[in-house]
Amino acid sequence: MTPMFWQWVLAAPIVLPLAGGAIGFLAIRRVGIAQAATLLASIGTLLAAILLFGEVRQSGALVMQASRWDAPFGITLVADGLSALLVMLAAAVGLGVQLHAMRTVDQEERRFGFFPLFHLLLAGANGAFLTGDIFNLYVWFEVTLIAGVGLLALGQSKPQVDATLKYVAINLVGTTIYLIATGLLYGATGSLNMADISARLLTEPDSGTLGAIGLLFVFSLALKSAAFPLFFWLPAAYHTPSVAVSAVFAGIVTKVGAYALLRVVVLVFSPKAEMFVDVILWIAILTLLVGGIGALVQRDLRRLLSYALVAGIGYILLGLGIGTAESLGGGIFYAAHHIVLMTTFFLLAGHVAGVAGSFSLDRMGGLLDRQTFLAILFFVAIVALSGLPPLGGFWAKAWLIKAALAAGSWFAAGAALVSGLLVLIALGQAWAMIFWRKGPASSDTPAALRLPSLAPTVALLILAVAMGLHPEPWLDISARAAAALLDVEGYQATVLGGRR
Amino acid sequence: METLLALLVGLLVAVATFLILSPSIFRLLLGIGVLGNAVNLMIFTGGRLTPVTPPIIHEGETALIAPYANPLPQALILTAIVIGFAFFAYALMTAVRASRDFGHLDARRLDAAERPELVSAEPADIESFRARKEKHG
Amino acid sequence: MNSLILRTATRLLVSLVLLFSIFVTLRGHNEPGGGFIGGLIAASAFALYSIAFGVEALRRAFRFDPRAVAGFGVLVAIISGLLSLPAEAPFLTGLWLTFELVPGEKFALSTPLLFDLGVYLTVIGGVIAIMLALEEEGL
Repeated sequence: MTPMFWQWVLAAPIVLPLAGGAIGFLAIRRVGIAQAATLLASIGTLLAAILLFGEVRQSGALVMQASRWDAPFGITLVADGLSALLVMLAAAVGLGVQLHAMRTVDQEERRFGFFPLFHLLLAGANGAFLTGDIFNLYVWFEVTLIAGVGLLALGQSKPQVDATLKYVAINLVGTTIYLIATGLLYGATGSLNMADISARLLTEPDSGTLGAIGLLFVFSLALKSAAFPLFFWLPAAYHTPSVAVSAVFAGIVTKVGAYALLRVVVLVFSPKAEMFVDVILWIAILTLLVGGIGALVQRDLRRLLSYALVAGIGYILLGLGIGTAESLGGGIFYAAHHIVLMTTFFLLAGHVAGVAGSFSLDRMGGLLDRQTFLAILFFVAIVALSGLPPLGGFWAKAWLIKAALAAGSWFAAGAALVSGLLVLIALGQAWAMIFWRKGPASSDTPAALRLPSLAPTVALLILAVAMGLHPEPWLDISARAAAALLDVEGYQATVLGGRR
Repeated sequence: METLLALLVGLLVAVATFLILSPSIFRLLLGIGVLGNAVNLMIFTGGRLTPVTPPIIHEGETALIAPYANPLPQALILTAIVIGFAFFAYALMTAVRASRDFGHLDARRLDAAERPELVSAEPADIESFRARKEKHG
Repeated sequence: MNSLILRTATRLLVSLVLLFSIFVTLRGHNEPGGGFIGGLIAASAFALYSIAFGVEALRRAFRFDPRAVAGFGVLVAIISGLLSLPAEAPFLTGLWLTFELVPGEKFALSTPLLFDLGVYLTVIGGVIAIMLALEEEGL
């Protein structure tokens, strides 16, 4: 395969969903065409992402200088181990949600452009994962956000309007602060290419300016990834739209913020990273605890999952906050597992609500007899998320806790354990309320869910379970992604040295 | 000149912060608009202000002639304006919708997403899910 | 708005402004201008039309669903980027085709021009979609 071929494979995860979305908008009055085009785009994206991942794993990071403007002047697309991993999982999850949505999203939302918006969102997320330019990252954030807000408001019910307003307001402020930080960093270093900035910062003396810029980045990206204390917008919004939208938000959109935080702190600010690592460690610990405690008191299934999601963000940030190669690997593995599992969980919540008629835990019950299969799936997902052996959450957490103990942060290890326990209690309680306890006596008892409607969910759950039952390759992938992330000089050489 | 602009940016950010902290959604949106302009001005200032020629390659030349203005901040600002514009329009649409649905734009009383009877009772896509299930068995 | 002066002037102005928007778009290749500003100028012509004759008239006059126009614009822009695929160049690389229709007068077709036209259509479609949505919400 020629180098040019791989450059195009690198661009494909952005171009394909964007093209799918564009065709979807073009055929906005013909829902069938929009659906078919976006489905093809989903499949194509997944294939390209798998190819890309394989190539990056085999022979190291790939670079494309868009429109042949060499770095640091043009916009560079870079796929290193971390980017390729996230793009691949996002594509897998995207296809799963697409298939689920094709069965569940109602006609009204389809006509208002559910599928095109969804693909615009995927293009934005992939763009954020793949770009090597800090301003371009802002642009992809906004693409993700605009598409996301469109999806969030699609049904136009009252709770959705309220949630959208809050989501828009806080995220607008967040991205504006990101833009301020980017502008200041450009003023201080004269570059926008991440590799170039990190090289220039090497010779820069430590100063208050750089510290302030770095903290602005940490602030805005922590807000975007829903870390303590700026997470309230997430549980206030994720429980209102249709299930497919919640699922893709939970799986992909929150990871964009967390990924950007990793990238900015570890790569861009690599010479000055010690300035923020402690702050991030405490943010992570508090996020873990607040997510776990919040999950305990929720009565709405999707709000409960939202808090569990916040706790999960805490684990990813913990990997960054501890700041060793070990812990970063654990955080990356957790993030990878979390993408698949959180999406599955929200889809499962949709199935549960579909048969129970509500997302409110108070109104559910007695589903164990009629929906045994669903109960088993939900149980497996709980085991995987809360970190009981032998499923995925366990390996990631064990790795993180080991790294935390090795680095001497007892607090971090303790918080990780406590948070896992709290989430397990909350989800276990939810399982008992949904399936185990006696249900409300109702006359209309929906039949057991058939496999076709469950298929995408089951497929994603199998992927998540496989990551736990056979963790060696994933542990290796994460460790290598972490090593590549920390190898700032290698990254600079790949990006600035032109073609490999 | 840079000092003056920096002070102006500071003033605009202060105004924006004041507006954003207001309980009225309308003022909040105005604040976000002002904040966006402050950022654009800041990026412009960050690109350094120097009295030089515009960065346009003239007929017959192949490269820019030495003292030319930095073209990058303008490209960044244009991008930020475009995105800000799209987003602001969208936020405005949502606000209009909210004021029609709820009859007010007071952030303290906007709680439709927090009310279990509104949220859990009519989730967006349960109805169709159900209808289809009854059809297909 | 029911004003004879506005309606009469609008008929004249809309065509003039649309023409100007195309001029600005094409000029943008080597001089100040371009697809975005051209698209905004064109959208302002449609805005004027909707002020003078009402939203329904605009919807009829525009014929297409504005979101479809925006989608088409994005598609055109993507295609302009994909044209560098057969040329063995990275995504979005600018390519030029130069003709000499009249001796001494060079005439160039390029992918950046195509990209600009895509932006032009996207901006028109996007702005009109927002405009229609806002007006229909009943301000």
